[in-house]
Amino acid sequence: MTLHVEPGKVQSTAAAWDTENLHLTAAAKQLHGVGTGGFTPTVASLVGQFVEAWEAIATESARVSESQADGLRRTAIDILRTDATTDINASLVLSSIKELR
Amino acid sequence: MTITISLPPKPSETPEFTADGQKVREAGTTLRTSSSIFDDHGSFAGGKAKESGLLDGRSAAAYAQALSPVGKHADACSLALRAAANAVLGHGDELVDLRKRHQQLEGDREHLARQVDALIARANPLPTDEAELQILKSDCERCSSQVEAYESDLVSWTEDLEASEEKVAAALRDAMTEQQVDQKYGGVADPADAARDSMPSGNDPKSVKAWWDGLTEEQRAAMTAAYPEIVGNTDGIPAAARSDANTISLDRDLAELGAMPEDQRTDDERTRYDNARAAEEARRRISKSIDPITGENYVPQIYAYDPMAFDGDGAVAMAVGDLDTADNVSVNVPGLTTDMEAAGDNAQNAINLQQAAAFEGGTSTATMFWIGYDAPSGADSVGVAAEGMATAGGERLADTLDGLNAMRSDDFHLTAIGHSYGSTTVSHAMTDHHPGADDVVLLGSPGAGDDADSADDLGIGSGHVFVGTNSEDLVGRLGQTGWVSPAAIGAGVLTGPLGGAAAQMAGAGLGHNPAEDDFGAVRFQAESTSRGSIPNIDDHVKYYDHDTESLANMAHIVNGQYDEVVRAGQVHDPWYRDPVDPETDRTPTSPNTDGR
Repeated sequence: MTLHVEPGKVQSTAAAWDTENLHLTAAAKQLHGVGTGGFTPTVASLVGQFVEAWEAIATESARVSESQADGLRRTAIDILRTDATTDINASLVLSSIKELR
Repeated sequence: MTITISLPPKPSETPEFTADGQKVREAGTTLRTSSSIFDDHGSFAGGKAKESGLLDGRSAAAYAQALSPVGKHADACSLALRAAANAVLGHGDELVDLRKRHQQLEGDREHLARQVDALIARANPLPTDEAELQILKSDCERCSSQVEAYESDLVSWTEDLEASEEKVAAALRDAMTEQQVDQKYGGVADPADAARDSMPSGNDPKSVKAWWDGLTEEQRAAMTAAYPEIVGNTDGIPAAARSDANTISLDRDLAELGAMPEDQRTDDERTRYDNARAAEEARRRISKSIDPITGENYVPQIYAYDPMAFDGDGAVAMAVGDLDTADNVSVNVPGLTTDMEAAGDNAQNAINLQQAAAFEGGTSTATMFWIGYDAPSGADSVGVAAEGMATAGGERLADTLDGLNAMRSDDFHLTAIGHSYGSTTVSHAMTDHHPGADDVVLLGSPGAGDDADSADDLGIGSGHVFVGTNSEDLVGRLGQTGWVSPAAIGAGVLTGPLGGAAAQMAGAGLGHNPAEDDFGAVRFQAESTSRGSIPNIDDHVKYYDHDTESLANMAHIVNGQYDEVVRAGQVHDPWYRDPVDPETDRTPTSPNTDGR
């Protein structure tokens, strides 16, 4: 029987999504740190609103990335579990799909 | 006869202005760095992420379907945030200019207010003499017209400030929500991609410069944000643009890897982060140091940044001063044991040289440290590498020097300075590739490379090849001098990381001692008041210290003040005994190099 999953590829792509999560979280943190002190009062409050909005956008994009990573792993595990009922290979590779970061 | 005198009005108050353009630029830089993260996120979602590893038809299709909007949204976010960043950066530049104009207005107002007060005093009581009245009238009219001009400048200033505020506010309001972002930027082509496609193939810096000049402002900004690793490290692109790009790369590494739990970093990520932190230390040291001419902090230029170059040794080059405009530019090439972690100390050397050049009368100087080649360090053995690393490094250095020449359309003075093994690298750049350097300085040289029998072989005239060798610098004694085999000095008597490496260099045979009379270079005084009494390694690392003969002389060379360079007697090699260095018996001096 042929497996319906390439475990190595699932693992590396899910890990890459995890890394995207970390990078976007870093972006959110950077945006949070943008100071408004150099701006004139007319612009400063708008800059404050802008960075707050974008911190939320980055945080949400990070969440979506994490969710893609988890979803990919979950789908692969579900498929392998189904396969495992008929194929010993599937049960052997099941443990290789896990979250590393 | 009636004389009518109209007293001038008092000039309006100059409004308070507390904005700081530099801080606004910093905010814009952070927004641009974040836009770059979104840009890579979009590329990932549209590329590598597609390789799901799911072979089941329905699952794979569901994954792919979910992926598409993620990538499209990330690309839109990248473009929107980049546009906002560019607007903020532009606003920062305008605020810097408005600040200068505001200071001028304040000065003008103060001066005019004093003038008006003086005229009021002169008119109370009015002079009785007609001639005096005419003079008063004329002074009042002149002052009135100056006040009018001031008022007009004040109106222009206020209008320009409001226009700048409105422009940046509009850009920010345009990208305040995800709906706005997707609506305006969803599916829009990134101008960086077309610009990247039109980039010339090959490494000719003149072609690169022509290509860069042909891009629109928008395309350049897009390239900087989307491809910082290319813009930051391609010879021919102006230094300011390279620095903007490398700032993005460095800030991203610090932010992304810094946010990662330490125990989750891979080996490569650990290397990248360590090198990024070393570059950050160099940047910090430069930005905390003071330009003695202006009294202001230096603004570092990151000319190259590649933390994973040379199997993780890393590459970084950073300038103190403006490489795009300085009349005098020096490129400082370090040697043995140098990798990216040495960036901080090399930055200090560049700072010292810039300050000394300024103190010695240089009004426009940029000094750059260049860790741009794979120098012998760590596991690299000089004995094994011999000249190979200097030869390869020389080629890279020649490319860098050619790049500096290509990016400048004006005539400027370029000095290549090599220390230790870096001097062998500089020699190879000159003998093997003939880049357009005006002067060369070889410091504590273990040898000028096997292609240089004399200073003339460096191709710029022996009078422009300068050599600084402390008479007790052990490494400076390792070059071939007459019939003496430097290897005889030998391994086994040297200790410590530098000592061990020097012992290896002794056996490597790195060419002629450039301080010898037969070589024909100009040797300058480079002794230290703390000079040792026997050949040692400590004297190998003092050349860039403040208040030393070597730093003062290097500053003169960098400034092109050749007559001010204090010459030293050259090493000579009588047939009947060991080489003789006349500098050994001279009492070293300590010239002031920074005015302190």
